[in-house]
Formats: sequence, structure tokens, C-alpha cells
Amino acid sequence: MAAVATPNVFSGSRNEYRVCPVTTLKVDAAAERLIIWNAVTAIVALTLGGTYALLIGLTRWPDVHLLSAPWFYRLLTAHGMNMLVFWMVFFEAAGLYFGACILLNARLVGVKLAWVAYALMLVGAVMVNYIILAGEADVMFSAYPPLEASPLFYIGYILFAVGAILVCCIFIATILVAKKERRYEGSMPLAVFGLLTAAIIALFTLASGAIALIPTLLWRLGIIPAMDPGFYRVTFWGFGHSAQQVNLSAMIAIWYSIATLTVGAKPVNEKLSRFAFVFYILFINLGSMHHLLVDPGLASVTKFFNTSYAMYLAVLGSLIHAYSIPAAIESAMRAKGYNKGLFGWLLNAPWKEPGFVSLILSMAIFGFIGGPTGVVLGAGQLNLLAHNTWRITGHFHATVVGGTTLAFMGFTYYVIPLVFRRPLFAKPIVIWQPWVYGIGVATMSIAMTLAGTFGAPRRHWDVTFTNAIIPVQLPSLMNLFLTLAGIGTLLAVTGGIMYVVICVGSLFMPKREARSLSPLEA
Amino acid sequence: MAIFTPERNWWKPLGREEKLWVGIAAVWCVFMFFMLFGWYYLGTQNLPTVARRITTAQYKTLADAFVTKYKVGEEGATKVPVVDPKGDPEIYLVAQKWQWTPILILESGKKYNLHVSSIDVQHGFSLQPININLQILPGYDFIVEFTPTTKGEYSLICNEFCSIGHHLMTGRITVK
Amino acid sequence: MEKKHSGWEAPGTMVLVFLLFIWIAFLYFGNWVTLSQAWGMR
Repeated sequence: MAAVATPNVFSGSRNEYRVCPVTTLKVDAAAERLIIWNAVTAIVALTLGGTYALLIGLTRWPDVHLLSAPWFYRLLTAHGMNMLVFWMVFFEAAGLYFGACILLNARLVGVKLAWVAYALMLVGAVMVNYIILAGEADVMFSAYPPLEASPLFYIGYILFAVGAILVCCIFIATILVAKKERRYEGSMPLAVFGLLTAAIIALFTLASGAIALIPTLLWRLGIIPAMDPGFYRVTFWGFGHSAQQVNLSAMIAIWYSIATLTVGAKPVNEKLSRFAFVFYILFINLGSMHHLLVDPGLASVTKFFNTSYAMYLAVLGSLIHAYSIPAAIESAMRAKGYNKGLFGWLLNAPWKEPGFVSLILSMAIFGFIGGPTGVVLGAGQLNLLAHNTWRITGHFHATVVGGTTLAFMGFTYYVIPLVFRRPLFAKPIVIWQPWVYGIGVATMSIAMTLAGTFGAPRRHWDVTFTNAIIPVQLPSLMNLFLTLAGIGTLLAVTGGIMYVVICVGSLFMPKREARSLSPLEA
Repeated sequence: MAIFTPERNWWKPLGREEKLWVGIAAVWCVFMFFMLFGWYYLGTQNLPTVARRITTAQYKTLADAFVTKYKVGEEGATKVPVVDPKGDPEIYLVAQKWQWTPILILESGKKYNLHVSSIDVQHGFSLQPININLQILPGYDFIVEFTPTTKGEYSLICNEFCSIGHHLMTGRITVK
Repeated sequence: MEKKHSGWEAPGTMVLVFLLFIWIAFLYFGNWVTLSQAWGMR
């Protein structure tokens, strides 16, 4: 269990600490402030991205078709950037500080630098949002050249990335110093190991992003004459997809953490779980090649090798976690005496805990919808059927929204009482939030996948092609799927609003120490 | 206890169930690796493998010559050319904001080398209703070898965002 | 521990992951069958 360091370990240090009365963990006040600021900023980005999600979702619903074409594409760009980059990375920054400092009983190294990183990320995020809304960067999240955005868009993107690189470096330095100062005994906790995996992947991912974006910026500034679109795609997806593996690793670290917090689950085999994380580091970057299977200019051997050998080994890591986490929950529940039948442990699980509901829904949506629909895209012949259709969008909404975002939301309910030290606002709706959000996202993802399977393109304002010179008619079932996606969007946005209301409301609750690990009792 | 430091000696052999599951998963991964060759030889459809570099100007010249030589009509308000290559296997399709040019009339059962490239930004070749999708880049002449097997009208749409009129970009291939 | 599950640490999870496995296999092979009926691109 928790290794509580003796108080005098910290004497002579300029950092201030408090001891959490519930977990007995030592909390570095400087880290705590950074966690709070990064988490709050993340939720602001989520709110922006969610507002755009509602508007673009209502536009793709043919019977509503809310926005004009320019605003649809503009807000789609802004939605992608806020959700996939700003919400995720700000929350992960908070998660990294939490993992390195609080879980390791450690002091944050380079507090000033951490604030510089926060400022860089904030300035980058504000710049990108401003430039997009000003109509100077209608280029989507992927920003493929020769599509042109204002140079400020790339500068904002790069500033944000530099901030994120700093966060990863501070995280790794904090762990190294904690090890050297013997702040924790033995090996680091599995959750921190998972976060370390995320940070390592983030470093090479961001390096790949820099190789894509810096020359593109130079091209937009007129310093170099052209940016090769094929080169950009290779390096951009080394960033764009590997970045999702950062989210994945962080999410799995959080899955293990919530399983421990809610049912006291212990990994069935530490060695196995750690190996599974290492598989991500080793193989996922090459696996990102599956974005380029139907690109011209890349040799078949390159495509085959990267999407088979490399991708299947990364998938092996995921299959291990897919077993390891539920097995840990099952063992813990059986040890408590819930032994009836095959699934008695699941029926008697703490379904009244919002964190547990988030965990299970997140694992189900990621495991049964998001993961498998993505894995099959690594086969070239199937990729040919799916590339750039709405099937892709359906896949990654089930991973990064139904999986990662939902897990992050569940984790927030522990962070608010324990780190923010405020009781949750509107407790009666907290338990419903993961259900509404999860069912909404799952409905939307399945509908998108089906629509894409029948040919609906992604990033598209009007699949009825009303004003096209040559008319196109997609299958008649299409309208049903598009409507279903619209309804799913409405549900998911409702869940999102509930989450934001709970979080923002909690910020105004009177400050008090947590009394219990369970967020509803704290 | 994933949020606390593990017990000192966590380097333990896998249990029976872990071994079983990891074994199945690993065998599956190896099987899927070999299936890559399986898909290739068993399937009737594979990724195109030929592409060459070309400037957008050069590509436009080639495609314009092809259209001039085989044009049989025009369609729509902007007079999109309709082309019947009459047995010539080298056929050209141009992606540009926001039209696929020309409309192609092909013969079923005949082998073609379809050249596709963009003369401005990136586009997405998406053939409906059979849902075949390719990424089209400027500067790369993508050469798709194929034999249309089923007669009928096929629509082309663009599924890579190509700026503000993206949803207007359509085209057609007729197989007779 | 109930007799039925003696020796099995997490039998329920084992069932769940087997379902997952069948589902992934279905997605691969089901999709692929559809595909082999499309155009002859070799």
C-alpha cells in the first residue's frame, strides 16, 4: 500500500506540502496549482469544442442542416483542434503532474518552467482558436498542404507543441529526481508507468509533428518554395495518430487507477501490464502508416510492414489490457465474496459510483466499438473501403471520445474532491452523466460507421449534393444513419453539458477536505 | 493497486489464464500477419501500387490532350467534358476544385490504367456506390490498374476536404 | 470460492475477451467478403 514518506524527508525544500486525509498521499502545493490550472483550461477547451460539436452535428443532420458551408468547415476545424489537441493535452498535463508528484510523494521539478509550458500552450491554443474563427485557417485538424492557412495558425500549433514537450520533460525530470531522492520505494506505480509511456510516446510524436509543421510554416512564410504533400502526410500522421496513442496510454493508466479507486483492483500481473505499455512505445509510431495505405508514392512493402508487423504488436498490447483490467476488477470483486455465476461480480459492482460507470462504459465503447473498427483498417483492402469515409470519424469518436474523454471525465470526479478539495456540485446528476454521454457517443459512432460503410464522406457539408453539377445519389438508408448520428450528438452534448455544469459548479462550492474516496460522499 | 508502488517482487510468471489469453492474442497477431499475403492472393481487389512524380502543369497537359482526343460530349452548366477512350487503356482523371474531369465512359471487362492526380490541393477519390477510396495528391500521378466488372453508372465524390466548395465536387464513370 | 469456478481467477472476463476476439474476427472476415465482390483492381 501507500508508502508514506516521513515528514523530515522534505526539510530544506522550498516546496510546500499537505497530506491528503483520505489517501494519506503527500501533495506538493506547486504541483496542485498546476494541476488545477491545466485541468480548468482543459475543460474550457472541452466546452468550446463541445459547442462546435453541437453546431456541426446539427449541420450534418440533413433535416436540420444548421450552419452555412463556410461556418461548418470553420467550426469543424476548430472542433478538431480543441477536442483532439487542447482538451486532451491540457488534461494530460494535469494528469502527468498528478502522477509524477502526488502518486510518487514527490516534489515538482522546475515549477517556473511548468508555468512557462502552461503559458506557451495557452497562447498557442488562443491563437489557433482566434485564427480559425477569424476565417484564416479553414484547413481542418490535419491542415494538409497545399491547402493554405495563415502562418499564425502554424505558429500557434507549434507554440502549443513546444509547451507540451516541456511538460513531458518536467514530468520525466520529476520522476528521476523522485527516484534519486528516494521519495518512493521500489518500482513506480503502474499508473505512473502508463503515464510515463504516454510521455515518451508524446516526445517522439511531437518531434514528428515539428518535422511536418515547421517546413509548412516556412513554406507559408515564403522561405521555402513548396511543401511536398506526400512528405507532410507521412510526418503529420507520425504525429496525428501516435498522439492518439498518448491519449490511449493516459486513458489506460486512468482505467487502472479508477479500478483501484472504486473496487480496490490489483493488476493480475504487473509484469504483463507493463510489457503491454512497452509494446505501445515500440510499435505504434510505425503503425501510424495505416493512414497512408491508399496514398500514392509509398512502396507496398512499406505499407505492409508497418501496418502488419508493427501494428499487430501494438494491438497485442491493447488485447493484454483488455483482459488485464476487467480481470483485476473481477478478482477484486470475487475476493470480496461476489462469486455467484460468471457475472455476479459485475452485477454487484459499485454501479452507484460515477467513476466506475465511466470506467465500464469507456472500456466497453473503446473495446467493442472504437478499437476493433480501427484495427481492421490496417488491412489495405479494407482501408480501400473506408479511407476518408465517415466510418473513420465513427471509429475515432468511439476511441477518443467514448473511450478517452469518458475516462477523463470519470477521473475528474475524484480529482475535484481530492485535489481541488471541493465537494461535487449537483450530486444527483453526477451518476447519470456517464450514461448520457456514453450512450450518446456510442449511438453517434455506430451511426457514423454505418453511414461511412454506405459511402458517406467525412468532413462534408452536404451529402445530398444538391448544388453539384453532376448529381449524386447515396443509398436511401443514408438519411436514417445521418439522423441517428444527429440524435446521438444531441445526447452526447447533453452529457457534456452535465459534465461542465458539475465541474464549474464544483469550483464555486465551499472549500473543504475530502472525507471519503467516493466522490458522492466526499 | 495501480496507483501505489507494487510489491517488491512483481516480476512473476504469468498465471494460467494470462498465458492462455496472451497465447491466443499472440497467435492471432502472427496469423493476421500471414493473412496479409492471404488477402492479397485470395482477394479480387488490391491497393494500387504504381505512382510517379509529375508536375501539376505536366499532368494537366497530358489530361487535356486525352480529353481533346476522345471527347464525345458535354454535360451540365459548366460543360464538363464526356470522354469515351474507345479502347485506349491509358485514361486520365483530373481532380481540381471542385470537379472531377472528365466524365468517363468505359467498357466492362477491359483492362485500364486509370491515371488520377490533382492540379491544386489534395482530394479524395471516392467511387460510389461500391465505396472505393483513394487519396489524391498534387505532384503524384497515381496509376490504378483495374478491370471494371459490372456495368452501370458510378458516381465520384470528393472525400478529402478541399476548401469551401468541397461538397460540390462530383464526377461520374459509366461502364457499358 | 464457488466450486464451478475453482482454479479460475477471472472466468467472466475470459468469456468477455473471447467475445471480443470473435467480434474482431467477424469485422475482418465480414468486411473482406463484401470487398471481394467489388471491382477488379489487381
